[in-house]
Amino acid sequence: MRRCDLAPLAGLAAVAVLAGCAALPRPVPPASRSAPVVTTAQAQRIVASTQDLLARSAASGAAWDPNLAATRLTGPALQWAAPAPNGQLAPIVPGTGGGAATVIAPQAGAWPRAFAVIDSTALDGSGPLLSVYVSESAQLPYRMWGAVPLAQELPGFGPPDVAVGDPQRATADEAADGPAGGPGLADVVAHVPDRYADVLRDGDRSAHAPEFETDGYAAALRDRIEAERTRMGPELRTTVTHEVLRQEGQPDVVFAAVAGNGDALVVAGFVTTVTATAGPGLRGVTTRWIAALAFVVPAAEGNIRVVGAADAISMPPNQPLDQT
Amino acid sequence: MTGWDAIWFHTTHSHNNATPGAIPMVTAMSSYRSPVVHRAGWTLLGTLALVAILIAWGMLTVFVPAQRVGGPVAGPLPIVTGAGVARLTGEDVTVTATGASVFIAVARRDDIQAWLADTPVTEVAGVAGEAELQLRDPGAERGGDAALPDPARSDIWLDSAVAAGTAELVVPRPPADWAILVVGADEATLIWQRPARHPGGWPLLAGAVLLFGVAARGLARRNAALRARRRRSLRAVQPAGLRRA
Repeated sequence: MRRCDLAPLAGLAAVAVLAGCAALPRPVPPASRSAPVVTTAQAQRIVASTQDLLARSAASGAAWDPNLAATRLTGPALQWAAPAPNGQLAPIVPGTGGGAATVIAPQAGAWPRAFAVIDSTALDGSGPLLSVYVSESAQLPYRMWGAVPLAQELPGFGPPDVAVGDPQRATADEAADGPAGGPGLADVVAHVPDRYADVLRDGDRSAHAPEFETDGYAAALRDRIEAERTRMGPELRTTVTHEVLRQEGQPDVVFAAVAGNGDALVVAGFVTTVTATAGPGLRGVTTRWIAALAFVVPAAEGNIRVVGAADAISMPPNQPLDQT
Repeated sequence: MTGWDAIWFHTTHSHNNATPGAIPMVTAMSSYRSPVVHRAGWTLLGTLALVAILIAWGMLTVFVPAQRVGGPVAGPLPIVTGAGVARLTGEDVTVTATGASVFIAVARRDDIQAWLADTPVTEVAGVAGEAELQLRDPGAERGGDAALPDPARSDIWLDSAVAAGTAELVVPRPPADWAILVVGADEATLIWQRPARHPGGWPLLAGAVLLFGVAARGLARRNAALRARRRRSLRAVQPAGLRRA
């Protein structure tokens, strides 16, 4: 082909290419990718909003508005932040100490969703504080469910901010990798609240006691129940019993995430109710503790550890017994 | 016979005439063939560089895409962008909406779908022209968004703007899995920025100019070499008496 024949063809090709460059943009459907339930900026905004509400609630005193508080608080946190009937604030006011925070945001899935924030220092300057925020649906805000002072730093959950998997997904990964040689992590995580409630009820007699490392919370709870018996006096002492349940209307496992090292962090709530019987058909609640506990389920062999606990009395002692 | 053949023929023919003996002719052919072919190569390279310069010029002037693309969309249904639409150009998106109480937000598309639930929406599926949006399900007859809860209560929004009257939200280079939502608007306008000029224009122009310079220099050197050899050849074959005259 002669040179003079090639020139127009080359020109046409160039125009066609350039015309393509000037065409209207077309949307490219995104490849599916996992994302954390919240970004760090979102988490900071939610925490700041919660802090603002807590500050206003603390300042309001008698003008405490439970409906306003419920916009950012739920579960034990709502209980803790409410003023006690005698006008005093509850001893535990959840909040972060303003130190370096690590956002633990599991991968987004269906609602309800939850994320956690570990603040390096609590309000009182003590060790790290784990705050859990939950959202029941896309149309409802995240609300602080509870704040648990941690006994120690959690390996695998350190800064920088981490987006971690959920135990269900971890179990699927185990299945894909091959037999794990035992119950899946998700299965263990799902049963942690039930089994620990059993330990709180029956102590060392519980069949699940060997699955947990010895922890201070269970021992302290037993001491408090004993003190309650003593306080009841000799006539009622023998009638005092206690029951441990999970908080009504709350999921068994409020928050669960798998760290980079494979350990699972589990947060659950418990309600311990102490009752006494004054006579036939006369049975009443003497004390009730609302607690939030954090557990670490090790990926490898080992017992489940209680890494943090916080509770508060949800009703004042000396409440007269009601007929039930 | 092509143009290059013509040059070759002319050159060898003229030397045949100037060279009476066989040996000088062979010498002339073997030494001149290489410069002539090289000159053709440099010329071709220069021509290609010129074409590239023209293309680059076109990319930077005539074929520059519009710097903005987008258009208006009417309410009152919630307006949401379809999959991948928020990242239509890969550049910033500016959303402006007017209404009694307007809420504009950006969030992950899956989260927006969960927030909307079964609420009918007007979905922006792309652009139909430089100033026109391509819409899907523009069904205003299906009612408004009165059933939707207050969007400000939710925490799914990555950024948002609220106003009574006119609200504006600029979303810088949204990822592909984000979407934009407008609630409570009588009308909204979505404008995507586009790169100011074709990204390859300046690199192509620079490369083409460089290539043209190299071709021009190569061609000039070859021409100079050709002239020098021609002069030497003429001197070698001229009789001494003629040279003196």
